[in-house]
Amino acid sequence: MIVFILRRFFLLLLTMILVSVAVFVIAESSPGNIAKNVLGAFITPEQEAAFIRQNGLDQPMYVRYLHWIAGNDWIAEKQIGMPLKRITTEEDFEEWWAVRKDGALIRWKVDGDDLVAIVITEDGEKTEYVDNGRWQEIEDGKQQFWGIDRQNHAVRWVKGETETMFVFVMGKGWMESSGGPKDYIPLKKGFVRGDPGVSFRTGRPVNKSLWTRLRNSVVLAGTAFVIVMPLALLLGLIAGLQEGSVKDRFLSVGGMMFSVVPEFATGIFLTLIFSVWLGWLPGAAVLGTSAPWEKPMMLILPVLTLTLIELGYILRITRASMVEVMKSPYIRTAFLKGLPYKKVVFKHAVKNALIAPITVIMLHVNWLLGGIVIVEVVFGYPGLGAYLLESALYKDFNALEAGAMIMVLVAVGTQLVADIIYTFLNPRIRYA
Amino acid sequence: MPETVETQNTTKTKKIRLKDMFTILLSSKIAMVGLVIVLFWVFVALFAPFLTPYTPFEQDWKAPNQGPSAQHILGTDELGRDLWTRLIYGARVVLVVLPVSENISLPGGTAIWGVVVALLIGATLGLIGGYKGGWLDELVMRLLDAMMAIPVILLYLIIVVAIGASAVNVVIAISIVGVPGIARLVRSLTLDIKTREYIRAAETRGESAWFIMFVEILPNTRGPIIIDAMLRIGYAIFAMGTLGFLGLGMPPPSPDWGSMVAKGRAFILTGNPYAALWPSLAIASLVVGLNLLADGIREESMRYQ
Repeated sequence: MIVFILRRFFLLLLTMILVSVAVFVIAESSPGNIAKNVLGAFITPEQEAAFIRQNGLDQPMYVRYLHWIAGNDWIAEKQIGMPLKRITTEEDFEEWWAVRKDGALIRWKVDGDDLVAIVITEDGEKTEYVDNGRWQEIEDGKQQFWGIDRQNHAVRWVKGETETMFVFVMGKGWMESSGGPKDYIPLKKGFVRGDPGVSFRTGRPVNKSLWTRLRNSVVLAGTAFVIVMPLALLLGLIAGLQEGSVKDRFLSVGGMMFSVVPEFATGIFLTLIFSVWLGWLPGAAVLGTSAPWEKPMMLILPVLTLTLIELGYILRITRASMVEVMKSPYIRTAFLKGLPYKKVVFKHAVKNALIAPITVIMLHVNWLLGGIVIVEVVFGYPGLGAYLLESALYKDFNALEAGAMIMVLVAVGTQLVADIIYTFLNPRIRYA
Repeated sequence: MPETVETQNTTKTKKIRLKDMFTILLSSKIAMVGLVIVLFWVFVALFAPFLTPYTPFEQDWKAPNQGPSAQHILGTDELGRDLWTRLIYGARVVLVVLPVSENISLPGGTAIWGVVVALLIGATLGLIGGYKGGWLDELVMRLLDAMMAIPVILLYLIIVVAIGASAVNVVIAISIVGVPGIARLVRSLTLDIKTREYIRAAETRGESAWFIMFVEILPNTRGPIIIDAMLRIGYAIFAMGTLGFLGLGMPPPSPDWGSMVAKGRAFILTGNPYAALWPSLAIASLVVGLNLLADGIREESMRYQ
């Protein structure tokens, strides 16, 4: 059994590596480019080149992949010769600073030919001073300096030679500015250390929006799951017990209809019925930054859509499983033994009939994730799925990669859990 | 001549099977309902140009966002295009033609092509894996397992983002997603059929592995594959609609059910629900019809066995 679980675990790792490489390669080699998406279609080639360099997009693909996975602050630390630290400011921005020997945080800007250091001492006092002592001689009498700029890059400045650069201004987007350095390392800790970098679309760190979005999605899926599970299992058992009856026909054909209709169509029908004709519920989820449970009315339609889709599927599996169990010899024996109907059903049949649906449901998470993406788009619900779609359409790699990895982790992880549960529920595997 | 005898046999069994299927179809009410719905859509898709005076691109700027009327039986969309026309031309793209480029179209709808391509690749992989076995089987199956573990929607997103949105690319996306499932099904059927005596006989005759796989084994996997394919066409239509809805389907002016819903959705709350309602109903009815058909056939054929 341990070998079995280890095998599944290995498969999980393999899948995640495959997906991360695939998403990276595909997103990078796809038509269209991120600089045009971010800065607009009418940028000059120089502007495009500057933007690409600044975000480290000129590096070879494997280097960028490694940086994305494992981060690049340790490379930058070597260049700068100082330890680096990421802090969160009072305004909730994430900033990278170098740490001076006395414990003060320091970063730099270039003003003409002068290097200006910005220092925050440990008691929180911010000072600026000219710090030209740090320039280092290189060939042809030029002077250079590796440091941290004010946009969270490790950078190499060359004295007297500045380039155009782009700064993300909140509410305005990317703005052009001068005084930029020669080389950039956009600092990040890497996905495995919980920092997949900055989103080009929003200019915010991916992990912040990602967690809020993931939380919203989990609330949505969780609510639907809690409603669907008992209902579907119960209805499935009822249908399975009376195979071929009118009730069974109604439940299984009805369930099939709901489960095969695309989520967006169900969503449209429900919106039309409940918010246009009956006027009971809001048609779209307008949540902004507040948590979904603060406006439960907004949740009803998305949850209902997901519930209908999943209900039919689980119902049908439970029904099939129950029909099979009721036909098995041990149930016949139980009846022949003279046990009352109720006892046979509840004590003998149900337990075995539920093994299949419970494990299959876990495997179905894969489909459920797809459903969530659509439902989120239909109702404008700010969840992970909508985030993923927006990032994909924008070619916002950092966000797309991170979202994709989380999704795969959820899908493959639940499959692992399903396998483990199954081995515990089914002794034939446990002792094999 | 053993070969001729065998071919005669297979044609004979094939005829019987088809006849069986027909009686099955007639005896199941559910399958009949499904068949009627599916045939309706096939009919309007085939004869779309004769069923409407408009083209799907014709805009009537004087009558945008209208409800059903005598001129436009289902109403018009936000650009004043006739919804009935766009609906039946949308069915055409799904079931009857595959628009490869502006001037070239292949017969057979986008959804059909997706399933056929997936069947070809999946069946080949499944046959090779199941018949040959060994490390090749192990490798192919592990890779397909990994692919199956990836959420379908993510695969669609990645594929379409990589190769762009067009009918051909939708076919590619649908078939890539379909391959692992078909390969697994064919593989398990192959593993079963491999042990039969006629395979042993063919091997003793010295037939090549390819002959055995494609001539001896593949035709005998037909039954389950047909039912699976029918369900898969349903999935493919589902997928097409979903891709269109997400803006990853056919490029804009073409009549695509999914993107019609996505566009029409914006006008639901401003009082014109029809542009979103009709394509939603269309896709729902077609998918339900296909599933009723497949379900009915499966149930009845199980009863006969």
